[in-house]
Amino acid sequence: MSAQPLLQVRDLRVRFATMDGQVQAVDGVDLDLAAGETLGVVGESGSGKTVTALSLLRLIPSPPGRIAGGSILLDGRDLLALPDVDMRKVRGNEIAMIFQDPMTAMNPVLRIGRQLTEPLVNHQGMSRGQARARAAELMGLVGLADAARRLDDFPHQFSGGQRQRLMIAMALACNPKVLIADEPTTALDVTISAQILELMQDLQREFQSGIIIITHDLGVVARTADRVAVMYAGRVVEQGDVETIFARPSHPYTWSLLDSLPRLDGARGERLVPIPGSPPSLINKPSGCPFHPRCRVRREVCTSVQPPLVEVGAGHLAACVIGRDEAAAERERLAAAHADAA
Amino acid sequence: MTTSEAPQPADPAAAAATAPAATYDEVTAVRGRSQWEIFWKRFRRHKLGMIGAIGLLVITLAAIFGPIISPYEFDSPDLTNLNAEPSRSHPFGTGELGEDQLTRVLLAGRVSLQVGLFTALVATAIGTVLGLMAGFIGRFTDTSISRLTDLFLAAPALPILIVVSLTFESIGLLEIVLVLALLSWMPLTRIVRANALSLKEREFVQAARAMGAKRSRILFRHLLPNSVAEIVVFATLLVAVSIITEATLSFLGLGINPARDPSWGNLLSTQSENILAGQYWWLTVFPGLFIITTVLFVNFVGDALRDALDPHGVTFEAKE
Amino acid sequence: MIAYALRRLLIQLPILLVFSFVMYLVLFHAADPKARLQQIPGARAEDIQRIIEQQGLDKTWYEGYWGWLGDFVQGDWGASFSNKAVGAATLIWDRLPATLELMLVSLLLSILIAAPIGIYSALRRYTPFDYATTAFSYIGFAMPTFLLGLLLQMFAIWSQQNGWAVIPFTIGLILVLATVTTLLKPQRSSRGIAITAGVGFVLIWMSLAFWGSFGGDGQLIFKTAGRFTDAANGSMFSVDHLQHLALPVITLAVVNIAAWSRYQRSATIDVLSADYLRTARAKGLPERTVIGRHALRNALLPLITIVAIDIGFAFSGAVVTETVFGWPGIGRLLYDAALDGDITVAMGVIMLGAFMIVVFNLIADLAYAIADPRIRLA
Repeated sequence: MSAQPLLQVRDLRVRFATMDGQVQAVDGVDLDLAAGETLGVVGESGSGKTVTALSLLRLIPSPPGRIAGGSILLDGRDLLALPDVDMRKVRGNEIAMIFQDPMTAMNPVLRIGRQLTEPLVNHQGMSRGQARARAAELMGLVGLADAARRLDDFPHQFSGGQRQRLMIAMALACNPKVLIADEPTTALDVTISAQILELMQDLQREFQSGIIIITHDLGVVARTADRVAVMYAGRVVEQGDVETIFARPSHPYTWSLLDSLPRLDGARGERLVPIPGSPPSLINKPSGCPFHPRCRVRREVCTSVQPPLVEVGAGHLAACVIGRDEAAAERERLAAAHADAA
Repeated sequence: MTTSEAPQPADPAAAAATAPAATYDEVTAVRGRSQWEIFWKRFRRHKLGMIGAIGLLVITLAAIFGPIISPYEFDSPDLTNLNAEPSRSHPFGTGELGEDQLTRVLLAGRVSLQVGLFTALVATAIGTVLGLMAGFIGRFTDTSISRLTDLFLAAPALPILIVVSLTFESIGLLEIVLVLALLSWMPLTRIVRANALSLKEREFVQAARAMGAKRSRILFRHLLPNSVAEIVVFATLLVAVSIITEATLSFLGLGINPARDPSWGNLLSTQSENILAGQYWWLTVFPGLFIITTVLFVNFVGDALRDALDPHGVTFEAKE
Repeated sequence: MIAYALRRLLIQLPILLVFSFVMYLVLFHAADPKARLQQIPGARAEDIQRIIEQQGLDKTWYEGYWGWLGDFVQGDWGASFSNKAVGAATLIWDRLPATLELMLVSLLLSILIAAPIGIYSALRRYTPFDYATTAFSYIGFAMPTFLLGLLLQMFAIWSQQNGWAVIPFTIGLILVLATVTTLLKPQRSSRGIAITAGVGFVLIWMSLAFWGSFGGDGQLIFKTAGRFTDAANGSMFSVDHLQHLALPVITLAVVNIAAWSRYQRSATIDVLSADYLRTARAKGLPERTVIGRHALRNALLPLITIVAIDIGFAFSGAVVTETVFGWPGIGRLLYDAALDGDITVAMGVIMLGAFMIVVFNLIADLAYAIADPRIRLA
């Protein structure tokens, strides 16, 4: 599927200036996305997922933020080199975004119709009337009934799930090539979030967009993604097909994350193993591999050398000095030890 | 009023934030100090706040020691030198009886600063106690205190001050402080009450209750410390407001009796004629300048305290 | 909404009643007209006794309050002590237009200046403009109203002596000083500083060149007291009237502008970091639309509340300004009444002030509810 990727991110770096110093929120991230593909980006809070997503649209609040380097190629065009006027034509048109909290992501004092038609009028030069008709269509598409009448409602008159549907309709308005969904279901309850994810997949089949789903929820990734990128401390530490990542994780952070979560199938039947410690400060990052203070299989070199992202299997990349097979063995050993201790 | 003490009110706040765990181990002692250090670090970084603190210190010291050092007496007339322009021997000029204006202004500063400080203390005490009572005891106490607050809030302050100050034969420091304090505690009561109400239901207070902590302990270890930031900022800003209000009343001839205690406001109370006659500008400008700078400095310090005590401003966190 | 408004007012009624009672007690104690009569030099004991009986001054406080309350409810608000011929209500209504005029003009001016300043300095944070308006606000906060009045009077006299050139001179001086304050800050745009300081210097230079050539003939450019030079021929729109109006209006406006522009600035900054603005930008809208359509409406909402509440307080807050400038409004009336021990007039003005505070607090809520679709009053 990776002949000529739709979106190609190389060595993306984003810095934030804070009162307490420079924060390397994103520190050399590489990502690829093909048309019709879903990429899941997973990581804890502060791992740089959202900043990465906002960088793709050049929406990093500046100051204090700044894209310090790298390239973002959309169909071979470098978005970081685009003048602001042209970048505006990309936003909402070629790349659209669905935000985390549908409660705050909509303007409380503007009617839904206005907010839905904005991208249509703006990018496709539709008249108000045309845009309204299309907006009603889009509302039907995302499963909202009685669209024509509800166009004149305000956001607070919709439920959380309905608002997320509206956000999706807003994002899909111009048929974007890339759809970025930042924690699209975090603010919703479980049944609603399942419906939303299903809706996104249905719409993807219809529109053939490439989707990037940003989440801390491995369940969401497992359900929707074709490929997964795991982020830690502003870097991608592991990348691969969703089956590979779940079945044969290589980076200790990835499998620690998996082992810290309950599994529905209960296949391994063992206890949950929490990851010790907490995510590192991005101002004073640990030397070497940023995960080493929390890593239970760390080696001598880990404190000094930051391992690059290298191929450990077909289409499977990991940034760890320990190889894939050795990692699997270590994982078994630790799980057994943990079971004994308990 | 010494400004070197300005940051001190934060100390209980810092201690308070760690108070629930204070008895467990010495780790908290380290954390307690670092809270204090965070506050001090942030306050120091607030340039205007530091300017204000140092400026206030200078003004206060000048008001305390200036009149002592000064070769002139406050009320010693020099009939050979009436309404003299500022000169080397009288930097602020002389008044209508030939008094040295610099000495007068500094002496008046003692009163104005005391009015500000004491009014803030009294009003803060009233506001805090009523707010805690309303929020913590609840029920009838809450209702009555809230109604009382509404009553005072509906009051047009300045007309009332004018009327009330007429009830006194002669107004001194004590009277003006009491009157001003009586009319300024309400906003703090509302804030403290709201804080106490929301905290009362929080887990850590519920837990303290469940463990059988005394009411007084809950009040002073949990509810009070959680409002310290607001209380300190309120008190600071009230110092400024009270200095202005007292000056206004004194200007209208309704404030502190000039014969008892001269204040910056009543140095100005007789200046209207001079201004309209286009003469003796120094009699207006210097006391006026002292009022403005003092209030400005107090507000600087208030802003710095607000920023330094704000629990949400600790660090900028890059989202995700 | 009307039901809500009525209910709110009804709830406030007992508060106003209690308030009037307390105020009457204080005034009754403070005014003590009998003692005042004794102090009139050369007054004969029997005359004093006659006046006391005529005016019913020997009433106890509860008789007095009950009587006042009756008069107040009936609408004539009781007889004035010092001006027996007319009731307190008539005296107050006569003075009301002057106060309303002063208030409305200054409020309008304040909003029209404060809101754009606040929004613009939020959009252009850490520029010389932002620092200059911040400095202005700090000084506006620190300036007692009466002192500003006195300083403006000084300025008026100064301009009388030196002509119109003092006005551009002062503006130039302020601009130069404002740029000096911005030099204290680390981030700054040198082009902005250069322009502002340049304009300031040119103004100063021009005005010095023309110093004393215009005006300066002993006529006041700004009148320092009163409402009309000749009350009988006064027209609201005469130059003379505007010359009288200018200084008290500026005095009242400066305080409001200082407070509201700060408020508007922080409200705008809050909105600028709102999620829905990010959404608007993510749609590819031009910045003009993002700010104009999405940010401004939300940013102006909170100001409505503040302005409405402040209007309520402004009503009785004009005492000082009116006194300084001899403006014949109800504030000045209250001041005189209080000094004369005229209980009914003082009570009337104070109750009117309290009523305005209550009403405009309510209006603040209603206005917010109308402007913000999320709020439903019940």
